[in-house]
Amino acid sequence: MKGFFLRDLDLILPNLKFSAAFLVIWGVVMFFSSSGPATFILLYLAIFFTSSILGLFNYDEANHWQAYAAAIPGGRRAMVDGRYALSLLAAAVVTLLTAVSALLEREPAGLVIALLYGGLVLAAFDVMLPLSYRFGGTRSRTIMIVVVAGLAAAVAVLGSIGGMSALGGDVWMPAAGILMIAAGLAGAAVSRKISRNIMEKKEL
Amino acid sequence: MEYAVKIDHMTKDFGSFALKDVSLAIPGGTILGLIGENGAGKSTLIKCLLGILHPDGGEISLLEGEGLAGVGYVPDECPFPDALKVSQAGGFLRGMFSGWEEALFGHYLERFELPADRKIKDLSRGMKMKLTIAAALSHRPKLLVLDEATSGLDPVVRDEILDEFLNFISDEDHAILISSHITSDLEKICDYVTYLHKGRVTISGAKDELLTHYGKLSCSKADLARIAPDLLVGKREGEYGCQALVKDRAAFRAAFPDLELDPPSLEDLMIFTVRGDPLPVAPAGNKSI
Repeated sequence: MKGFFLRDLDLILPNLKFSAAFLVIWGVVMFFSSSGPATFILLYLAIFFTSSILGLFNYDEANHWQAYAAAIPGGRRAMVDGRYALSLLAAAVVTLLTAVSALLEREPAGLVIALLYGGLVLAAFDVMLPLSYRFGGTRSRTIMIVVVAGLAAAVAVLGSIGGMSALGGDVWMPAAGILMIAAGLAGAAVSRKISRNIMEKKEL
Repeated sequence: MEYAVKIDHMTKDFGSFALKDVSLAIPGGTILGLIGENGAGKSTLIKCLLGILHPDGGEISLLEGEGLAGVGYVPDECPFPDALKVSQAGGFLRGMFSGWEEALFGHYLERFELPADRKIKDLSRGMKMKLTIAAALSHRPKLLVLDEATSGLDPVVRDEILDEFLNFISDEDHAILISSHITSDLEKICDYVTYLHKGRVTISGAKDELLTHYGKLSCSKADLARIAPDLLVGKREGEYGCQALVKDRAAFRAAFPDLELDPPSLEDLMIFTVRGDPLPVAPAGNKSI
């Protein structure tokens, strides 16, 4: 699995470097401004990771990578596992950065929102990865646009939840955050199993 | 190792195309060349052998049960992303193959003059193919499987790669399955040849025996007319003379001692076999293989 994970990471790393530069600029702006929650940058990150990882399927198709991987012992499973590991890492990074953002802004509700964001990113992968393995990167791109739009809407809504703590959110939000991340992780386990089954049977 | 590969009565049906009852065997220490026109089923056979496609029937034995662990696969296109550097490919391949040897990969990069810091997109087709071969060899496989690996390469690079294959096969535990429609390459290096035509094994055997068994006849139309068709595989009639592929050189010589026979090439075997067929009519929506 390690090799497949590294290959995928190598492919998204150049984009990641660009995003890191973007984050630094954002951090400087945030430092000198008194604006509210960092919804925009978190939305950007969530969409960046989702589209970058799902975009890997286009590389797979261009190089007939899946056929090559299938000719390696355990290659079909390892290929799936590597991509899920990367998606978990992406969700962890979004969660962590959201939490850091909340701490910087001294917004306690932000820590819960971090869990909600992480769960949402996981949910997007849980749905999209099996679809991409089944239909390929090109055909699942339309579905991806819908999922990413949904993700954007959800993140925007969550961004406004910060103000909901005044509406009794203190009680239900922590539970919702934990539930969301747990559902995302459970979904990832199921989703990975589905993707593995798809790849085991797939004619390449 | 008696057989590196043994395929018995394998079938794979796509509807518009099928591999039918394919059997072949590659003894250890030998090279088998898979020849056939485009769409004959060479890639399909290789994909079935490696589990990239799932055969519908038949038996496949790979390295006497060792399976894919001992196989180095070289597809017809470089499978590594253009955006990455050669060294990055080495980095992730190390994590994919249990028997990967970094020093050996470095040795092949040097031998093939592949710069580690160059992006794959900046390599020529020949260099990309060399990189794929270096990757296949660097985990010390026993069986190399090459699918049209020499197609589109210039003669110098092809010769260099063929030399590497001969070097690989010097170990009697090693074997090579190579498909190509460049029959001259296969004629240079193969011990065995299997000719696939429309999904069926049409000719198969030791290369030298095949080239001794068959004969190429060049004669006049009048001479050709007196030869019974069952002695011939195929014929080509031209304005100034005729050519034909004779099935059994010894039997033919006994029947027609006055007619001269030349040894055929693998290309002759292919061309005359195909010309003996009725003209193909491609149905609408025919699936390319």
